[in-house]
Amino acid sequence: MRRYVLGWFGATLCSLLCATQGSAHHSFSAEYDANKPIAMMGTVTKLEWQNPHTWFYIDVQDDAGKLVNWGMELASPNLLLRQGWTRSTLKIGDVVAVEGYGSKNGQNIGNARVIVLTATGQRLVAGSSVERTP
Amino acid sequence: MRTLAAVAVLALAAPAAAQWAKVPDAGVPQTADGPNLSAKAPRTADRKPDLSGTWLVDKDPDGKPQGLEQLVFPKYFVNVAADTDFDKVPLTPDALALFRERLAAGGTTSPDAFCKPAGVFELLSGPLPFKIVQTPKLVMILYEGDTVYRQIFLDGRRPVEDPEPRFMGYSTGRWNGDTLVVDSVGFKDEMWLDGMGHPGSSKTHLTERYRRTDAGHLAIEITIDDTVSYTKPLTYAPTFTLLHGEDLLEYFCAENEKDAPHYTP
Repeated sequence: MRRYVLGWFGATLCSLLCATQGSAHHSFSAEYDANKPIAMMGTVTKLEWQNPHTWFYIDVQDDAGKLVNWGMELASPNLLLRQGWTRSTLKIGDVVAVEGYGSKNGQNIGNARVIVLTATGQRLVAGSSVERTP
Repeated sequence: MRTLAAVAVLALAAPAAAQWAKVPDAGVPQTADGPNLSAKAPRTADRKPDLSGTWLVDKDPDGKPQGLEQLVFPKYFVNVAADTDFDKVPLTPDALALFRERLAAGGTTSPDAFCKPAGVFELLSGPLPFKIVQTPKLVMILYEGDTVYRQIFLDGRRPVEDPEPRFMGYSTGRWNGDTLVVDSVGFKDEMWLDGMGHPGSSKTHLTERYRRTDAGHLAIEITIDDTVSYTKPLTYAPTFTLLHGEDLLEYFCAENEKDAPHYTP
């Protein structure tokens, strides 16, 4: 039987991609850059607790003192519900510190990994671990 | 921007009553410590193994948190050929070319990413559960992902000839001892069998062998016979754990899809 293999092309790609192709909806690599860590603090202006991904938006003061609105993406509300989140875990007006990764296209969006509610110090995580990069 | 200071340990409150309260599965014995998931598998009135329940595929025990969700994903959801060396998957030349193209696109061309139906293969072994409803002549599988269903007919009907292609195929089943054997055909072309993009064609014959190994666990042996895409059948065997007392949620991907304009290979 003839066997068709991926060869070096596949092996190289696998080393890069095999660990990043899992996702409900889209993969991390389709939109975000693991080499662009971001960290910012701001006030929640909007929450979208909807599939396929939860989004929240925060007003962040930039270095020039101007308020800039950022969109932060989380897992599906289905996955978050099963980790203990509810639709009111984050609320409009909450002041939050966020760590995550920025977008490949340079827009003001990010994949939030850690969210800290500054009023209480409560630390929310978007998934099962905050220790690993994608 | 400011770097986060050290903060308190995660202390999420228990989920509020934001969905159905848990209703214990009738087929699972209760003990003082909770449900006994290792008890014998329950049986139906007609003495068949009762596959009913809400099931979630087990995570890869060797897996690491990954993806946007930072979850440990089920390994066959990512790669149906996870048990085969990556360069020894028996792809046909056309399937190999298609697979390379999909890999090179870095996830920006997957059907899921555009809220197209994920299809039976990804829904089976994905991170959202499914629910089996069993009757003597019909087994229904309700998938939380995409909020879709499959009907598995056990009424002796003949397979569809020249089927109109479907995302979920056409399924008939029969009992072989304590195993429910399900044959499915009539799938669409250019399917994605997993997150990586292993291809599947409309010539796919899917065979699933369902066994409830005990009260809390389900095993499915899956064989994909698709001579258009593979020179020999692919076989893998995910295991599942009962989400005792739980029900499904809704998942309509198009509800608020806004990622597609941002995709960058």
